[in-house]
Amino acid sequence: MKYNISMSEINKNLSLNSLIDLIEPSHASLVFIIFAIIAILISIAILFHFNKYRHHSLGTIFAELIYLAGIVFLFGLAFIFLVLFSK
Amino acid sequence: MIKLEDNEKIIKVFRKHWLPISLELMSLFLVAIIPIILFSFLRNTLFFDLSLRNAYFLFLLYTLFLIFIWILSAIIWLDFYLDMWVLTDKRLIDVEQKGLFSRDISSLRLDRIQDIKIETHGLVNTLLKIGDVHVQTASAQKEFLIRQINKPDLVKSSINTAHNLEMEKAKIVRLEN
Repeated sequence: MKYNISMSEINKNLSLNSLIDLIEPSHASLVFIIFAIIAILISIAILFHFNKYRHHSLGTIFAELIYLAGIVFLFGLAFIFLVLFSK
Repeated sequence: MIKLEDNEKIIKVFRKHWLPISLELMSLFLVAIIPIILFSFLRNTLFFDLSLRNAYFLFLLYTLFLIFIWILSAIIWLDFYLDMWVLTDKRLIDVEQKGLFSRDISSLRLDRIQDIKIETHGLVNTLLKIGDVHVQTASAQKEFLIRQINKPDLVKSSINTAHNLEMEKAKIVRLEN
């Protein structure tokens, strides 16, 4: 028996596009929310530690601000991509 | 944080050298850019022939991955920052942070110190003056280890000075009695 399937055809069947098309936007949102809840809980624990030892130096406050700015920026970016994907 | 005794004063706080944490953070940065490198290699293949909507999904995944790396970096930094050795005029206190929710604090009275030893291994450690300080004690704990510390010779001399002062105080008290 001969198989007449070209490489490009296999690639087309296995394309990332078709795989991502299977994902429902609502499922992606749910995963995002769960991830965000876990990340926020861990961030609260991290900030609790930062504040616990705050009196050490101004550097601690600076590090806290950098961490907060980074996490807010990344979550904002993730939210924008989620909205664009869900459209 | 650490509860000091009455009239106890902090002389110095020692932390690990910046090199080990820098290497850890650098390796995390490399892990963070691996998906970009992979994507640039594979984007021309048919497998990666993406529509704009699906490209947004990949960006979303990558951003979540970056959040994970960012949180991990903060935990590594905290672990570095909260690991410290506090030298007071009465004690040497070792604070060891283990992850986010576990911490060991042990202290050693300066008058229990018997000997202090410095160990430096390797070319990089010698050049950057990174080493371990072993404090031998008369107590059951036997040894107090300060790892990968910056300028171990200075740490040793600080502990020695504090120890000598404490012993002098003890002698004066004995003579007065």
